[in-house]
Amino acid sequence: MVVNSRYTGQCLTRLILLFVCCIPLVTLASDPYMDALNAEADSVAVDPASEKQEANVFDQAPTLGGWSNDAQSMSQDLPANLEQEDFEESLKLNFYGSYIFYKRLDDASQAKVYEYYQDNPSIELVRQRIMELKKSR
Amino acid sequence: MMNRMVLFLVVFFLAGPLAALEVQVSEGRDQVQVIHEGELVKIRRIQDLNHQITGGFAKTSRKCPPFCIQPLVVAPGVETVAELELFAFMEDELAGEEGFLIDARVTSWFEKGTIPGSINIPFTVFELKPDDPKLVEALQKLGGKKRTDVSDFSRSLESLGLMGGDKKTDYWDFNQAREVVLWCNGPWCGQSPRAIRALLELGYPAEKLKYYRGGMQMWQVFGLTTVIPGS
Repeated sequence: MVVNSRYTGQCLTRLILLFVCCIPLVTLASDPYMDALNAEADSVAVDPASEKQEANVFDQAPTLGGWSNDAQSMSQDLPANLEQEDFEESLKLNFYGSYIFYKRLDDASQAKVYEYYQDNPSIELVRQRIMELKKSR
Repeated sequence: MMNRMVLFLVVFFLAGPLAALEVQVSEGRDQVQVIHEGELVKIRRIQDLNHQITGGFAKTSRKCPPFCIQPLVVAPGVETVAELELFAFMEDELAGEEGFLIDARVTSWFEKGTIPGSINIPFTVFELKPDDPKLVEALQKLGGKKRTDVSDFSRSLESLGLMGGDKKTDYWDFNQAREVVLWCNGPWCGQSPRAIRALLELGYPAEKLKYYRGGMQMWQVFGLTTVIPGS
């Protein structure tokens, strides 16, 4: 009788230990929120009509070495004698690709571009200067 | 004959401005440009006036919870923005590499299509333990600096607001933190709100965070350009 009750006690202890050990595993295996998210994602796609097409990409990709056309303005010259703020605005409005790279330069390099523009108000030359400074960063 | 030629020339030169798209992104603007995966992408709207949304974003109803309507203000101090503010962010902070546009959805959503200019950092990354390499990498990308061996004396001074202490925690210095706009699937999506709350818990300054609540749902409603990552 004593043996039986000891045996039952041992079994019970093992069962409890097993149960306690399994709790974290069950928790890890199933996160209802993540399950719902992934299940929903399987059934959803963006509207194909909204996907990027040829018309959404510039003919010449703006790689650091290859940028040569903003495809935005036919003008070859920037207005002369602009203040730096107006120069930036003019770049933004008319040559956005160049403006993006200009904005990625640090303040000192931006000042160098502006200084260069004052002597050379040609977008072609300004663009070359921006790319030189971009590459030398 | 001469008059016809003059008329032709006038029409020809006026054709540029008149050729503006019928469905503009905002009044007077055909497109917004942004760099995505090294490529300059023009964000435009679908031009078909009869087009209706197809695909998963046409659904009206999902189980709530978990897909519940989110509040307008996700946390105190975090600004909620809409499309026009997002365009301005793309042209200024994003173009100047001073900010990040974060698609906070889990990768299974991101892979289906994202907003141009976005990078994917799932909200789950921001909920990892403070020393998890993925979290450390993400926060460093956003301008956070990992701190080690911070003395009690330094923390005492910082707690008084000295030494830029209002943007420092035991683990992180967020004084150089970038501006970040986070978004997910739209007003019914809790992923970016969770990311924002987790970032705030980590000490990221609220004024550097913005919540684009419209997310992919409103982006699709307006027929704005999406990109499939890696395509």
